Amino acid sequence: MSLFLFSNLLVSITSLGLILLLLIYGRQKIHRIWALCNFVVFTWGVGTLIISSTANPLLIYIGWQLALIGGYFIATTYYHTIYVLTASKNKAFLILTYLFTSLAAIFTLFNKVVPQFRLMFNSIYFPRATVAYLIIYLGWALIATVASAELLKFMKSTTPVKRLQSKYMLTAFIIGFIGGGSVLWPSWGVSIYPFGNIGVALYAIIGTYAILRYRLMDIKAAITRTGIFTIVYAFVLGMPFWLGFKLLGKGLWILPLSFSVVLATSGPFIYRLLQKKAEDILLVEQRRYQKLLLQAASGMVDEHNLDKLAKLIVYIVKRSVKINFAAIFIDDKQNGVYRLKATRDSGEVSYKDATFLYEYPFIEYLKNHKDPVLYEELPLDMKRNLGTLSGISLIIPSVVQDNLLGFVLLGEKLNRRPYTEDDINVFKTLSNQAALAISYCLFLEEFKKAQERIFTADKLGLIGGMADGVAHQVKNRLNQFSVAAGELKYAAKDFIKKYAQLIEKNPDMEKEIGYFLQTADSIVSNVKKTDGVVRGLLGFARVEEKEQFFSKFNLKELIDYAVDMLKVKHEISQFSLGIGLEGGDDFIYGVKPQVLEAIYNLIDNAYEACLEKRDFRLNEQEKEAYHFQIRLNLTQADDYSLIALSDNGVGVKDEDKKKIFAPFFTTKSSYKSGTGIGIYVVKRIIEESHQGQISFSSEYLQGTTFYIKLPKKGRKI
Amino acid sequence: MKQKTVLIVDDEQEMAESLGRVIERRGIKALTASTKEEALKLYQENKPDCVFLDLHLSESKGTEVLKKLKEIDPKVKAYLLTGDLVFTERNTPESIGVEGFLLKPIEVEDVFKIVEEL
Repeated sequence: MSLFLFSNLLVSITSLGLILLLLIYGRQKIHRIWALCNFVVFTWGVGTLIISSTANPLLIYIGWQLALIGGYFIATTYYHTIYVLTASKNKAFLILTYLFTSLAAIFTLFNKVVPQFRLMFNSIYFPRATVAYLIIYLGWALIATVASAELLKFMKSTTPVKRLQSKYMLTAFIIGFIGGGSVLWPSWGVSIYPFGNIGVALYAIIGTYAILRYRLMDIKAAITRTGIFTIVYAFVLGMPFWLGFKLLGKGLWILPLSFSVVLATSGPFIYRLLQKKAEDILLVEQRRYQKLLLQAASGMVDEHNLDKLAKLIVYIVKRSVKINFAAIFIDDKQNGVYRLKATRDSGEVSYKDATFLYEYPFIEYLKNHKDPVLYEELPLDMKRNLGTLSGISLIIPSVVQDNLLGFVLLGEKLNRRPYTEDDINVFKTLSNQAALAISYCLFLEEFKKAQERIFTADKLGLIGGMADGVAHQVKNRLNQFSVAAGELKYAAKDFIKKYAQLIEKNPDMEKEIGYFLQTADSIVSNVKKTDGVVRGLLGFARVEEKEQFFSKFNLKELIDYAVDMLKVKHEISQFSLGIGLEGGDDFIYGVKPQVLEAIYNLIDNAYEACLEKRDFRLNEQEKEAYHFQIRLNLTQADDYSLIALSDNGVGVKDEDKKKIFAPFFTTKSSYKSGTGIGIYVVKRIIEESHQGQISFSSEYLQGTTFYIKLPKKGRKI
Repeated sequence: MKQKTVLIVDDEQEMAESLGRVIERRGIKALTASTKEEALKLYQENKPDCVFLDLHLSESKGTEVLKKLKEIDPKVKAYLLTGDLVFTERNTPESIGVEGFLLKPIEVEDVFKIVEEL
């Protein structure tokens, strides 16, 4: 078999195959036109095939007619394709090309174009070129040039997809033109072997690829790949032929060798196909759950509740893979650990409250490793971190930008089979999806918390601002009361002076005037009390300026002072307060008047909680047995002083616990005081002025303990 | 001897008048003003011995009025009335250029002490 014959066979077969392909998959007009292109290529191919495979003059004559007529139409149908591709308006030219080509075909059929043949290369008959042949040749070249020019023009202004398509078309045509042209040179007496007919096959293949596919490979990449493929194959498969010719000369050996070439070429494709089929059959179960997993994974991002998401993940994994347990651990930033968020097991493993500290080498390892890891692969000390958690087979971390959001621990598969590379790849995808979903959930949670914080800060700020404004107004009114009461007082005094004699005669009158004086005094003293409340609010509206007043002082001294004030307030002579000072040192740091106010408020609050319990919550019998117990303990730490003030008073109901630090909140039914700003003021003194912390624990009807952490100078807690 | 006179500047007329009445009980003439312009006019006309000045006036600050008064009479004797604890904590009467601060709610006895010493 000659090279020419082989290439002609190839052209015929490929073009026929491509016609079928286009008829099956083609949907558009351009696909049908391109099928026509392939048909004329096919005609050319069959024609050349006949020429190259026989010595019968009649057959050669028919062969050349077929080849030439097909060949004429290659340019015409190429133009037609470009006409459709570029949506050209040049219909007249299109009709003209068909007319011209049809005429050329008729002339050829009537033996007017190439009436004579000559034998060349000892094996092939070529037509002798004539004037008509030349004219047709020039016409053909004109059509091809116009087509290519239109295509080039079109490429400048079209979409990237169509531009790439056009590039492919042009490349295909150039290859086809050079290849096909080589078959015609001998007609002009040029003695070059018609090596290039294979280019026509390439023309058909590349053109079909460009027309059928939208996602075209980058043309450079495509050329490089095919180039490498061709060179490698030409070398690998050409060497045996070359050797064969050298050692054995022409012979039957070409047949089996050609056969092996065909098989070797199709080998990789067949191998891949068979492998896939085999795997599909063997791993049908694995494929099933992998598919399930991937489907489920894509649904994860829709879950915005972290708890539910965690449950969903372990549920999906355990159900689809069929394993004995799955557990998910998620980053708990507040506590610096990875905490078990959800687990599903068959009852054998229990991991309640399991946590992993950030510092664990195991966590570091996952952060760096990022990919799923088999338990067996873990270094020994990592295994130790997993300690009591037995039965783990696979660990799947979820990492986003070096940030380990969490990880999933998987037990063994119920069918006792090991996890395969394929499984691990699926889990990788799953973990990426999970990471996205988790980070989104975490973000939402953070966002919510931040919003709550902003809201609280807003509220406090608003109240602070309001307190400022209200306090100013109230003070002005109080001032008015104060001055008016003073006026009343001095009016009465003046009256007494002026009408001393009259008053002496009327004792009743003296009594009445005295009453005026008393009333005025009462107003003034009430004004002072109200002013105290206002000061409480206003004094802490702006606390940042009090820095300079920090000092070190005795807590005991403050307590005594506060107790004295309380005695006055509640009109009691005895106040029993238990005091516990650990370590003997009772120095604390802060703004003395503020800490005094805080201590005073807390003790006052404790005392009133006891009063409240005794007077409103206990029956007569219980009252007998009830004794107030208020105790203050001081514990010193390196960085702070901890003051705990406990009482056995009325306590706080659970539903009220959240509101305890809110301004103007009170549960006291007592008629006395109860402005509701006491604890609020304490909180602001401790947290804002002193950067300390305040918290409390309480049980309704049992009592309350407030804890104050007061930082020592220059320390932060 | 000329009768002692004080000027009370407060944007709340009632407040100024009420304080004025108390002071007049001590036999001292009390003038009241509720705006800056009124205050400056009265001061120029009467040259009072002392001025009680509210820190927060609705249109201008007591300190601004004080500045203007000082332009008229550098030796003006003024007392600043305020309820703003932060202000009194941050400033001293000397730094503001007044004789003293009167903390609202004021006690008439404190006012008497001042006017009796005039």
